[in-house]
Formats: sequence, structure tokens, C-alpha cells
Amino acid sequence: MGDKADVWQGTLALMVLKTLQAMGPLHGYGIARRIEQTSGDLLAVNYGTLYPALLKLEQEGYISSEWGFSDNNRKAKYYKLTRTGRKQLNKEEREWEQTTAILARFLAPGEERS
Amino acid sequence: MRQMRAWLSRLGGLFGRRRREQELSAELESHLQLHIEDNLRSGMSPAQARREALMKLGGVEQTKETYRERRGLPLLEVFLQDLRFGARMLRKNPGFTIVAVLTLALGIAANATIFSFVSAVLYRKPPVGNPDSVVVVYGTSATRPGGANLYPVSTPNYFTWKRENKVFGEMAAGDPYYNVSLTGEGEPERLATMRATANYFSVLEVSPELGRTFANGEDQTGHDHVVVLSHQLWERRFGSDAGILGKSIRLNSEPYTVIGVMPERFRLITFQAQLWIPMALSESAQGAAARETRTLYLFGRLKSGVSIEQAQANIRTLGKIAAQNFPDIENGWGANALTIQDYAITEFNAGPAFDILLATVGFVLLIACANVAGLLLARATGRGKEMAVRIAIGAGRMRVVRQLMTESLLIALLGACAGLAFTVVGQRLMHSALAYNEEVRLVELKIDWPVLAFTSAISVLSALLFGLVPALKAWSVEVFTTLKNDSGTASAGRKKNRLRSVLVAGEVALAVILLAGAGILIKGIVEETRRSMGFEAQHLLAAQITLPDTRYKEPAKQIEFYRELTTRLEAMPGAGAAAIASTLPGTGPGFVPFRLKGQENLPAGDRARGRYFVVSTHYFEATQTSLIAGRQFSDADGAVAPPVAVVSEKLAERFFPKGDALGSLILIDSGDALASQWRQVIGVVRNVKSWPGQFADDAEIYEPYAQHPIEEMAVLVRASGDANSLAPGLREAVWAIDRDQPVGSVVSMPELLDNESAGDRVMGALMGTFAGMALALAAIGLYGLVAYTVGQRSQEIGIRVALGADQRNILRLVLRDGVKLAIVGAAIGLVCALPLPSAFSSLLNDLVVSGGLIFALVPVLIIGVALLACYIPARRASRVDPIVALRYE
Repeated sequence: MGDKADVWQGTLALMVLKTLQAMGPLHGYGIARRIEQTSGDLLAVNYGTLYPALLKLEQEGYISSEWGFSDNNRKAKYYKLTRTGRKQLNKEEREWEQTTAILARFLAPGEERS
Repeated sequence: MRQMRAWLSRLGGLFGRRRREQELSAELESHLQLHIEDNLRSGMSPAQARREALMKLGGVEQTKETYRERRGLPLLEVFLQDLRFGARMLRKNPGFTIVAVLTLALGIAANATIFSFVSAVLYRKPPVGNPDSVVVVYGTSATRPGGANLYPVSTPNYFTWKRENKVFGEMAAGDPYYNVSLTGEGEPERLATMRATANYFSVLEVSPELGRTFANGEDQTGHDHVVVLSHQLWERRFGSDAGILGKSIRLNSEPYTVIGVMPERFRLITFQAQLWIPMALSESAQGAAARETRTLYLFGRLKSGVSIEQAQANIRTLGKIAAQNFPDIENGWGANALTIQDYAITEFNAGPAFDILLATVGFVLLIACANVAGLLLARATGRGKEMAVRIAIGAGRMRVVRQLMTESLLIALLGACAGLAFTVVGQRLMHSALAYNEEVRLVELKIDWPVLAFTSAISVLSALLFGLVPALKAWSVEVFTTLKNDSGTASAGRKKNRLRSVLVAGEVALAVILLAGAGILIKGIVEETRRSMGFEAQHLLAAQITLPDTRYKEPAKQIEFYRELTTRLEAMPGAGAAAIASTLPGTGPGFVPFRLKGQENLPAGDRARGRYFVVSTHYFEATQTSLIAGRQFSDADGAVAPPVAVVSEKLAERFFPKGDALGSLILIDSGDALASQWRQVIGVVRNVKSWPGQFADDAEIYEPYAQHPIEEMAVLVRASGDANSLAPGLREAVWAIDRDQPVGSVVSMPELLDNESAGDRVMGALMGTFAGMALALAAIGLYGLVAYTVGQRSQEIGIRVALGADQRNILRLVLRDGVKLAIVGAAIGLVCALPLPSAFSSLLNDLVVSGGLIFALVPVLIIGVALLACYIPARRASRVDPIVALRYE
């Protein structure tokens, strides 16, 4: 586990929002698994850190939660995106793309274009 | 916006905690179950599946904790939690709590009492409209040393400055030194009166409770017989009669029409008056002496946009111009201005005394804090393990420190509450102690908002002070050593208590400083009151009499009145010599300049000045002021006889070093042209103090009354027994001559002088009280430390006893530690106290103090008290049963 990167604090919220957009309503465990799988097992999510993050997003009104039942009929709390959450996701995605694009230019000095 | 929403939601998180907790548990439980099922599906054993899921989650409790912190407002929540916990801890240790709270309460009450006094007397906004723009203009003198340097202003300067200043919208003048006699129904009475220009009340922007104040032009001769009463006088003398308006009362035997009554709250400290009458001033009618007659205070209303600094600059310039234009008279004089509130503060000139008091109570609080810190430290040692366990099971160090600080805050707040209760008592004591001062007596001391704010502020400050040390100790707890270390071992003790020892030594040092300071002051005050006055105040009765110039305009009539009065007084049974004097000795007589024949060319700045008395023939006999050379006044020194004067020893020494004062010629410039003539010095008398406890001697000059009659005189009569027994006779004697003549303040001379020095006595009593508190607190601190150490070392002591140490050895062992601390503290305190005498001497006029014996007595006292404080626990230690002590683990 040691060589897997810790989840970068600020990006966890974005990952949660994106996961919920892609998967629809999902419980905490599912979100954690999904993030881990999507990262190709490169990320080690300490699942526990997910819950405060979920609470924060809920407090900010980006996601909402309600109790439901899983496929194998287990009671679980399901999270889903709200309308503002969707807008926020779009905004954050754009910002993130911009940031990575800028960084990419910095990190590729050989391909400097004129 | 988002943050606001999150914050509100978190605030909501403070409530409905139980439901949320259950929900969180359920959510985490379902998380684990989902994970475990997945793990089982991938082929793990049930135990392995659970373990893996738990590890992946990072611990259920830890997750819950981080979640909780996000949920509510952790700071507030933690604070409430700490508060509950702190309250529980305090309830569990009532002994500790009571001692800590009471100790603090004493310190806080001492501070709050002094503060409430300062705040009530000086820092309350004066009851005038827009007080910040009311400015008092006063004179300053470069040549008269000491005091607050606030002098009244002459009438010509008032007119000039009123005309030429650029900073005031309007300027009024008031003469607070004018007293009138009220006659008519009831006993004649002398009343403190303010004569003021007609615009006085409008400049102050105050309105009457009843009727009106002065109208324009009422300060012109012929229109000026109107009077405004104070609420107090109206109530006391006229029974709050609402029909008083328009009625006529007799002041100085002239009819005055009552036009208004001022409200009760209109009390101007330092300008307090019982009634106000108009002052008819005319610029053209000012004689030659006017410039030297300084009796007016000027009140200016700042123009809008003008700052007090600008006003001061302007007034100072005007003062300089006056000094340039009239170098002879105004030399050394200047002018300045202060807002009416600052003026009162300066005039009260309690400055240095208050500074000393404030420092003293600050020290007392500091000692109290050290005591509580010591107690907390003792408990912290006992709670070392508790802290270590908490940190080991995951409490952050910051969290532990915060919890300890909350506990300290709780103690401080309890101390503040108890302190406020003590403050009420302190205020009462203080108020009655200061009741001799009329202006202070009118002030109500109570627990108001400023006092509450101050008390909270100092209690929080103290919490920080005494809570910091134990909290820092908790911060640096070594978890493993503390948990492994068995605190019951024989060697436990000394090192752990080093911090407390430092605190206790510091307390002792502070107490020594306070005791030395109080001792020096009290010694100085006692010496001051023992200083001979130069005359015999015992068995001397005094009264004030002002002859109204309506009926006693001719000097001959005045002389006749007083001659008859003194004759009647001396004829009373039990009475000795009787005399009259322009000022009573020892009550701060005024200065006048004088010139000496043959010494006219003294430099202008060094113009000779002397305290000035006009006295009747038997004055020196009545006061028992002994004659040193020459002769006293006799009945032959009448109006037509050659002018004569008597001077004091000091004057003779200073200006006639060759001893040729007798027969020399002196011209006393008392401002009365008729009396200003060359007088021959016929006698030299002993120096008389100008007020009780005065250190230096002043030059004094006496004129015979028959050669300089004045309307307003003090009467003195010597009694063979109790002076007050002559009081009824004195009044009767006056009224037998003139039924309408008021007799002001008949009081025995010792009582009068007592009043003059009452302030010093209060100061001494306060300092003594606070120093006593400091001593008691330091003793408690020392006792606490030694008692605690004995408890800790009981095993060691048990071993010693088992090995053959006898009671005396043990007693000595314990005493030695405590007394060593006391000696170290006393030495430090003594070194710090060494500069106190010179500091006091420079701060307080007249108080010429020296340490002397005090520096020897205080350490003896403190070490004695330390011995006592240590003896009780030491004796307990010496009776330790070795079997019990050793078995106890």
C-alpha cells in the first residue's frame, strides 16, 4: 500500500462529485470503491476520510442523501448530486482542465511552440 | 454564501446529537458490512474479511471523531464540553475550589473597588451637554512649585482672551471661591456659591429642573439679584417647594429672586456649588490690582471642527502674549486648557496616590494568581497520569491544554462573581472612608457596566496568568515516563515542585515589596502627622464669620463688631484668649508678594512671597504661637498708629541672615491699596505649618487687624477643656451682637486639621489593608506548598523515622525547606523595595520618607509568618507513623 499515492485532499470532493454524476445515487462504500477502481488502484483511499468529505459536500448543498437498500438488500445511505452540485461539478471540471493544461505546458519544455 | 450555508448547517449540528450519532454509526456499520461481503466474495475468511475492511476504513472511532469535528462547530462544542467537565472537576474538589475562588475573589475585589472609585469619580462624563467640547481655561505658574498647577485667571485676562481666542464659540467665567450667607427662616448659613457670567449655563448646555437659568444681561449691575438653586439646597432648605420660583431669599442680607432649580445630576466635580448667582463683570471698571486678583475659571465651548489640541495651542499663545505685555505681574504665568473632564481628573490630582494604589492592588491580584497557579500545579502533578492517559488514547495536546485553560477560566469567573460580592462591601468601606470629601460623598459607588467590564477583563487576564503554567506543563507531559513512573515512590517530590517553589518565592517577594511599600508610606504619614504644627491646636475652637458689606461697609464697624465679639468670647466661662484671623493656621493660607526696604532689587522671578495672615491682638496668645524676638501686636497698634507687622522665623532667616529683621521695613502687597504701606517688623514668631504634615516651612507675615480690617474672618477661642463645649456660647455671642449674622462651620481645630489630613490616613489604611492581604495570601501559598510536599514525602519521612530520626529532626527538615523559600523571596523583594522611599518622596509632596527600620522589620515579619505557615504541616510530618507511611502505596 505504501507506494500508492494518498488522495490529494482538494481533489477528493471533485472525484466524489464526478463519481456521483457517472454512477447516479451511490452509497459511501460504493463511492470509495469506484474512486479506487477508476484510479487503477494507484490511489489508496483511507475510506474513513471519505465520510467527512461527504458531510462537507452535503452541508454545502452539492449532494443530498437518503437511506435506501443495496443490490443485496442491505440498508445503506445513498448520496446523489443536487442541481447546484451539478453546476459546481461543471465549474470545477473546467477549472481543473485549465489548471492541468497550464501545468502540462510547464512540464513539457521540449515541445515549446512559438 | 456556500460557507454561510455550511456554517448554519454546522450550527444546527450542535443539536439532535443523539439521532445523528446513531445515523453515523448505522452508516459506518453498513459500510463495513458491504465491504466485508465483497471481501468474502473474493474468498477471504470471515475474520480476515472484517479485519481488512476495518483497516481500510482507518478505524471506526477515528472516522467518527473526524466526522464529528466536521459536523458541529468543534470549537464551541469542545468549549461546552470542557466547561461541563471543568465544573465537574471543581465540584469534586470543593476544598481546592473554595480556596482558589476565594483567593482570586479577594484580589479581584481589591482591584474592582479601586477601579469603581476611579471610574465613578473621575471617568464619568460630566453632566453637561456634549462634554467633550467644554473646555476649562486656567492659569499656570512656573514659579509656584508642586500641586496640580491649575490656577484661576484674572478678570482682564478673561476679557482679553474671550475677545482674542479663535477656538471657542462662546466663553463664560465663573468664580467658585465666593461664599454667601443665606439668612431668613432657619439658622443663618454660609453656602458654597458659584458666581458666573450670564452665559455660564448656556455654554455648558445644561437646563434647569425648574424655572430658568440666567438670561442675557442679568450679569449687569442692577439686574443681577437673581439666584439659581441646586437641587440639594432646594430640597434641604426649601423642602422641594415647587412654588419657590419668583420668591425672594436673602443672600448677604440682600434680596435675590429665585429663578430656577438645577437638576440633581448637575454636579460638576471641582466646581460644585449650592447656588449660582450672576457675576457682574465690566472690563472698564477694572482697577490696578485686578490683574493680580485671580479668581475666575473660564469655560469655553469649542467651535465645531476645533480640536482640544488646537484650543490648547491657542490659549497657551494668549497666555504668553499676556506675560509679554505685563512682565511685572504676569511673569512666570501662562495659560492652558483642558476638557472639563480632564480638568477634574487633573484637579483631583489623585494621580500619584492612585498610581500607587493601582500598582498595589495589581500586586495583590498577582499574588492571588500565583497562589491559584500553585494550587493548580499541585493538582496537575496529581493529574499527570490522567493527562498522559488522555494523550495516549488520542487526545491532542492542544485539546488537553484547551481543556485545562477552560477550567482556569471557570475558576476565574467564579472568582469574579465572588469578587463582585466583596466589591460591594469594599465600595461601602471606601465610600465611608472618603466621606470627609464632600465631592466624593456625592458620588455613588455601584457595580455598573464599566466595573463589570473591568472585572471580567481582569478575571480573564488572571485565568491566562495562572492557567498558563499548568497548561504548559500538560503540554510537555512525557507520556511513557509518566505512565511508567510510580508517583508513590520515596524519591518523588523535590524536582517536581520546583515550579511551585519559584511561584511561592515570587509571592513572598511581592508581599515583601507591598509590605515595605505600605510600611514606608504609613511610617511617613505617621511622622507627618506627628510633625509639630508650630501652634497648639488642642482646645482651640474655630468658626467662620463673614460680615455682609451691606451692613458693615465701614471698616470701623467691622473692627467694632470683632472687638466686641472677642471681648464677649473671652468673658465666657471656660474660655481663654480669643482672636480673629483672615485664615485659620494650618489650612493652607494664601500667598502674597512683599517687598523689603533695602532689598527692592531682588530678581523679578524671585519676588519674595509669604503666607499671609491678618490677625487680631490676642492671636498669638490664642493659638499659642510662641514669640521668638520683639513683641506681639497690642491694642495700641490701631488704625492711626504706625503700621507694623510680625514675621515668621523662616522669613527672618531667609531675608535677614544677619539677624536684623526686627525694625526693618516691609511692604505687603495684599491687593488692598489702603493696607499697602511700609510696615515696621516688630516681632518674630515661630514657624507655623501651612497644612498638617507640611515638610518645609514657608515665610509668614502677620498684619494687625485694626490696621487692615476685612469682612470675612475666622474666629478662634481657646478653651480650658473640651473646645466643642464652647460652641453654643460662641454662636450665642455672635447672635447677641447681630441676630442675622451667620456663623459658618463651628469646629474644633483638631477636627479641622484632621479633615485636612484625612486623605493621607485613608491612603495609609488602604495600603495597610492591601499589604495585609498580600501577606495573608503569601502565607497561604507557602502553607499550601509545604503541606503538599509533606504529603508527597510522607514515605521518605517514614523511612527517616524508621531509621531513627526523631521528631525534632523531621520538624527541622520540613521547616528548613519552607523557610529557605521565604528567605530567598524576602531577599529578592527587599532588593526590589530599596528604591521605594525615594520613589514615594518624588511622587508625593511633603511625604519625606525613609526605609530605615521598615527594611529590617518586614523580612522579620515575613519570615515569622513563613515559620508559622510551615510549622503546621511540619508538625504533622513529625508525627508521621513510619509503619503507616511505608505501607501506604
